[in-house]
Amino acid sequence: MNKPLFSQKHSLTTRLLHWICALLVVSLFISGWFMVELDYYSSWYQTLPELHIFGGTLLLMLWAWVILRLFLVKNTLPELLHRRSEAFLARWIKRSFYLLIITILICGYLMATADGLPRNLFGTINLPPLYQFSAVQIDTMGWIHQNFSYVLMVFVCLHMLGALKHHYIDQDPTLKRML
Amino acid sequence: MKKLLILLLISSISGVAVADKYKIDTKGAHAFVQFKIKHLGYSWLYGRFDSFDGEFEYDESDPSKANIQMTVDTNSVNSNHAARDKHLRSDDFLNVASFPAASFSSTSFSEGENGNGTMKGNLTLNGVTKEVDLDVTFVGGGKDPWGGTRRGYEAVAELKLSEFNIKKSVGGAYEELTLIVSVEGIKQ
Repeated sequence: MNKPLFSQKHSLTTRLLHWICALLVVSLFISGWFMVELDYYSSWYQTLPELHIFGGTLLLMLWAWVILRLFLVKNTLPELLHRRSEAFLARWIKRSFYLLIITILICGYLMATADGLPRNLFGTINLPPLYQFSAVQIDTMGWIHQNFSYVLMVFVCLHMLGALKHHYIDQDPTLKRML
Repeated sequence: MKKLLILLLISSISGVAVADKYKIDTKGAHAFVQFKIKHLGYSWLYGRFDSFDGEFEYDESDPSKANIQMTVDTNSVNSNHAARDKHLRSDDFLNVASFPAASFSSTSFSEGENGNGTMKGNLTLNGVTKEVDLDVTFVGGGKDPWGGTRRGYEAVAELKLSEFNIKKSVGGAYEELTLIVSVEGIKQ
């Protein structure tokens, strides 16, 4: 009876998007953490922020797709019999992912182009500016970008703990469906 | 005749006692607060503060009484690079969240030749007040075409970032900053 339920997985697109975005979110957090502490004379001082902005732009495009799929693609997998409190927690953590990540990405993009000039990456890509911001606006976006990222990491940890709990303690296919 | 003499005497005394007051023309942007500092020791990096205010007094019959007060909005630092300006506003440099204003208040002026001279005063930057010497050049003064009277100066001072507790000051030649303040005052 349980067999087909266990063998079913999320669609390949969902799984790929999930893991690519997960990798990007964690690497962006780590690179962001490092790049603001770098010494001016470090050889990474120029390249790491550029890579960070490039990764952020990639995630922005993928995340827009993820959010679009929320409305366009129906989840056809049968519901797993989770506790109501767990389902509630998981749902709100997921919702905060959508909101936090898109906010962090938008602030990052606007800061990277805050000069009002196209932001060039690696001499090839040009990010078009949307608006030229004032000092106070830029600093506020910087505060949001940084502090929302810390909150996001707490939620990422909860999300991971939840997945591991389902896998090892409940021994249900929540994690396997995403692999 | 006696009355007229007394009147003349009074007016000349009052003329001596009251120096002309000039408001710095920020409205017409005929004033600039700029700085330059070496980048890597290889070139000059110029920046400026876009928002500031101030006034000065000057009395031709007694230049030693000349004085100036200026306040600069540190949030308005502009080096033509949004990311660098964000770094300059942070607590690594200007710490604008804690110290949104920098100010200068003169204590004495000694005029030399051609209206040039040295102005001493207290500069408050990053919450630290230090006495600095401004090397003042008189540029010009007189009637403007619109019915007013103007007077302009340029002042240069050398500062060391570490003296103002600026966190990212690295010491040596890279922390010497030249402050260039160019003002045009409109007589009030």
